[in-house]
Amino acid sequence: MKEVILLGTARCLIDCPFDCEVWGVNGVYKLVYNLPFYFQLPSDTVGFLNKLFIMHKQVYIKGKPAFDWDEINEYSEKHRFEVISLHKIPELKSTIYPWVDILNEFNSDYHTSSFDYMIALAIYEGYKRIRFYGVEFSSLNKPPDCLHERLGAEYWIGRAHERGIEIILNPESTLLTTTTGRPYAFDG
Amino acid sequence: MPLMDKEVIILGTGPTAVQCPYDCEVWGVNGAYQLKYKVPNTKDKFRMDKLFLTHTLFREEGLMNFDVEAMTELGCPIISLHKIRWLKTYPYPYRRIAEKFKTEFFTSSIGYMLAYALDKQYTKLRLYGIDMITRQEYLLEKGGVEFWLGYAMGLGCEVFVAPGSAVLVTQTGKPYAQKIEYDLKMVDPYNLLKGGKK
Repeated sequence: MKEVILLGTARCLIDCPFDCEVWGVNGVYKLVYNLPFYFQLPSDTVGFLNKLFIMHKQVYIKGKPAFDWDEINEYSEKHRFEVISLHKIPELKSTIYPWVDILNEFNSDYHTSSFDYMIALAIYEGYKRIRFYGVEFSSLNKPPDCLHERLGAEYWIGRAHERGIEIILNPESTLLTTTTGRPYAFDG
Repeated sequence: MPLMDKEVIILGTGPTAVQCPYDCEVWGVNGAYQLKYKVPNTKDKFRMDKLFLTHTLFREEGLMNFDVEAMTELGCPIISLHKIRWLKTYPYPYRRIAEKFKTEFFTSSIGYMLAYALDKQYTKLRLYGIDMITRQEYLLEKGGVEFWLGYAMGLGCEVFVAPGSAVLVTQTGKPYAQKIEYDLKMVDPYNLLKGGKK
């Protein structure tokens, strides 16, 4: 079965078994290739990426650039993963995300997070199982953006579900959950 | 042979309910039956072909959730998730629908209605008054509505959401991480930032 792991930066990424194709997002490459260092795991623990998705242009956090294009180029060259970017970034060696193809295929531009683009591409490329690690969308102790971002992910999971694609979430994820743990109005 | 288009309006009680033209089959949710009286100039065109209830008759504090008498007067079939004493209702086919669509991800009454519409092979879904703009709706319910709309769009359904609703709308109005363009005229209609020069 054609399957892919979508890998985020939440702590539960350490549960990722790296047993199929792995697509990561933003700064996850640093964590993946230094898992033992960041998470105090056995030193022989190894991770890998097949694709890294960078949907933003440069982002500045407290005045400092969040992305180090040279470092990403270096990592992608050394570890042989493909970088997919939404925008053409001259300093970054990347493949441009097939935005128009995705738009034509799904007739929707409702994307609220990088993961939406990744799920859409996974559906488009015919993956039959999508697994999530390091993706929580928990609004606790996180910026409120997490909430907005979760909504789009649920839309795209709906698109995947309709096509019969199996979705496997990590237990810490808030995706596809209700507050009661039961369907709406079954809380009596 | 292509299937005939089956169109339905799903009507909630949010502010965009005033835009509802009532020009095809209308399914209301919970208190939507009161819109006939609450929205000006609605009485003549108002119609409700089905009413969906997902809550039990009594709230925890003992108050009634519905006006049983007004709902009886509606005269349309009432589809309810729970049995409601004193009211003739048809049971929502929960188990069958959950099994058919292989999910129990329902975060609001609208999720149940969308699933019901897909089960009945409706191909055009129009949403009015389903705005998901209150805190609870946005936080807890919007994602589930969008899950079902995603499912519907995947099936090829045409989806219309009344302008003003937060459903299928991003924070910026643009897809995530895409360039946001501002119309400077909106901010500075008199070119004050350019010293009044055009």
